[in-house]
Amino acid sequence: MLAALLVNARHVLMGATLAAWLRGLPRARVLVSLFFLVDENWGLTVARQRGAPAGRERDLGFLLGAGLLLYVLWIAGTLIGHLAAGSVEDPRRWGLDAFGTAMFLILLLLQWRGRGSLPPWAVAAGAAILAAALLPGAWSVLIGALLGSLVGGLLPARATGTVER
Amino acid sequence: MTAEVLAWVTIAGMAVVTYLTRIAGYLALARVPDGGALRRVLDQVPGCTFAALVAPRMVEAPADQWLAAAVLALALWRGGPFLAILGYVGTLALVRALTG
Repeated sequence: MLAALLVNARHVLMGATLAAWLRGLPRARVLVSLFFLVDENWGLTVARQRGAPAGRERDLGFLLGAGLLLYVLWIAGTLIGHLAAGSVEDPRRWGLDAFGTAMFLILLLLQWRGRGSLPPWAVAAGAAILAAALLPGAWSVLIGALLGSLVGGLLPARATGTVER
Repeated sequence: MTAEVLAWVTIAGMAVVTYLTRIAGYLALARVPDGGALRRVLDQVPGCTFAALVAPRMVEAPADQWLAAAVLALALWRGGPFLAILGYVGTLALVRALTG
């Protein structure tokens, strides 16, 4: 259970980023929707809320809908993988082994907000690489995300090119 | 407790812990005023989270995956996420087929 806590600790950060966005929405609906909060729908939701027309930024349905779809696809994919295990002799041949990294790369690039994104990302990446070498498991994600965000958020706005919204 | 019961209890416990992490951040900040330094830090969280997820994997990635990542970035920029995934997997499959 401690492993589950560590692996999922980044969800605390993820939920925190959405807190202001979810304010004023019915709490019960929010709590149900957050059950389906995972990296992918979170990344898409925060990427989408930027540049959304006024009044349409707070789309809880998008978070929930994407979450439900991911849930179903995840279960279906696991089932197919379980049933078809062995029929793909070498996932490497099809490049399937590196699929997760591609997903995260896309979600990362969707967060790009100009050159100002580079300093915090570099801090996050460096800290994560260091932590991954020194610490077990999911610590690297947590440490990288925290350090990068703190550096990026607390540096003078001009230095990071933060745009007023 | 038999091993089977223990396994189910552990799974249930992990599910509860996981759900609690998903609502904790929202509940903690639900009544905290938005804005200022906190907002600026939170705005950096998404990019930094994915950077921290990707970086350790890419450090250990072979050259073909770096090439695929470059194709992915270009395809995402010019054509969107679907093309990006196709480009990535296609590049990996092609390179691996050519190099055996």
